[in-house]
Amino acid sequence: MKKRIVIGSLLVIIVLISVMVVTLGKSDLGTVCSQSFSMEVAVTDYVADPDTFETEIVIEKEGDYVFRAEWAPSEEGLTTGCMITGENGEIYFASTAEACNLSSKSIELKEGKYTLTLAFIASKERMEAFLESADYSEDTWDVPYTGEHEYAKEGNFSIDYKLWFEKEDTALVVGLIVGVLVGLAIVAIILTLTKKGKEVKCKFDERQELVRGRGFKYAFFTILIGNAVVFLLETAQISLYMSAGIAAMIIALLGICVYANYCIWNDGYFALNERVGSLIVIFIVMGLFNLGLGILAFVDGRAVQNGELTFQSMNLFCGIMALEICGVLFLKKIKDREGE
Amino acid sequence: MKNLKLKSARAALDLSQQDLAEKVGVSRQTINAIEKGDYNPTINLCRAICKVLGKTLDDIFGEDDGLC
Repeated sequence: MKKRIVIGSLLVIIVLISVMVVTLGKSDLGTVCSQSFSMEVAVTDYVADPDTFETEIVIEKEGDYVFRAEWAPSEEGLTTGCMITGENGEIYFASTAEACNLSSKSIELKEGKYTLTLAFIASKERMEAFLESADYSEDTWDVPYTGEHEYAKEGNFSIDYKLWFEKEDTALVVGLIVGVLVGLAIVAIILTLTKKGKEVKCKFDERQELVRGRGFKYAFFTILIGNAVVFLLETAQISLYMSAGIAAMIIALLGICVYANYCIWNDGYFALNERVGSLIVIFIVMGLFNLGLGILAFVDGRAVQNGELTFQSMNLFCGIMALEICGVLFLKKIKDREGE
Repeated sequence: MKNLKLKSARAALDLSQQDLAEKVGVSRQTINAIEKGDYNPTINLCRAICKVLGKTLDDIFGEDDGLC
């Protein structure tokens, strides 16, 4: 395929995606009805005062929402029950927790007014009354009620509540798809521009094809062994300090490193029609960019949450991988010069 | 085993490894690997190299005793 056709098509795709992003950006995706407030609750002989707190929620646009709440009481022994009801008293969501990051399943809400009720529960009887009012059922609640809970007989509780609704992860999904598409288009343009001549397809000679085949084989076994190790560690319930998804991504990066290093060392990495200098510059820029973002994520505390690596930490690993490949390219260059 | 016949045939035409590689359509490292004996080319590549150098397969890739 001719270069101009490919670049033209990719630019059209980027423009279309950008228009889509701008259009979606105008719709009300994201957080709505956010509320933050503090409550002072006094408990006397297992009775909370006030017993409940109600606040009005106005949903301006019909859709699927996720209700989220965060709170932390000053001391243990008081449970909060959350319930969202409609104008006719119909229950849309109900749950209880002592202190948590509460997150509902997807709730379909129509345009209108809703009531969010917080019940301050300081006894088993009050809990059972709340569950009854919330139509408790073992099948529908995330965590079945066991009745095993210790309540404070007396105490003054100060609780900071943060409550909000989110349009169900549509924005995240759209963001991910758009990000992947734009990323692919940019990579395709870079790969097209780094080719000599009009041909876009990479050309390798027979020895290079052989080397690349071996490289793929070693990378395949690296990923296979990595996945087996993760599987064994998870089976043995040994913490990896990361989710299975992050572990899979890191193993994939390891596989890429093995493949790239083997191919570079055996002169099978760059195609005959590739501008090697341009690609190395792109690698260095990409590596430094990712490394910077990764370090920032670690400094900000976004890369590690609850003692586990998050998706944001991937930038650091991608940066290290890109710079490691650059390092091997540099060493190979030195070796070749010595050989001459 | 080093392929000195290829190296001398190339030198006779005053071609560098890069020149020969470009004419044959492979990388310079592939020509280097063939000359050093690190890589055994396919028959198609052998024929392409012989064509560029104006030699027969026997001249470049034949055994020293004359038997292929």
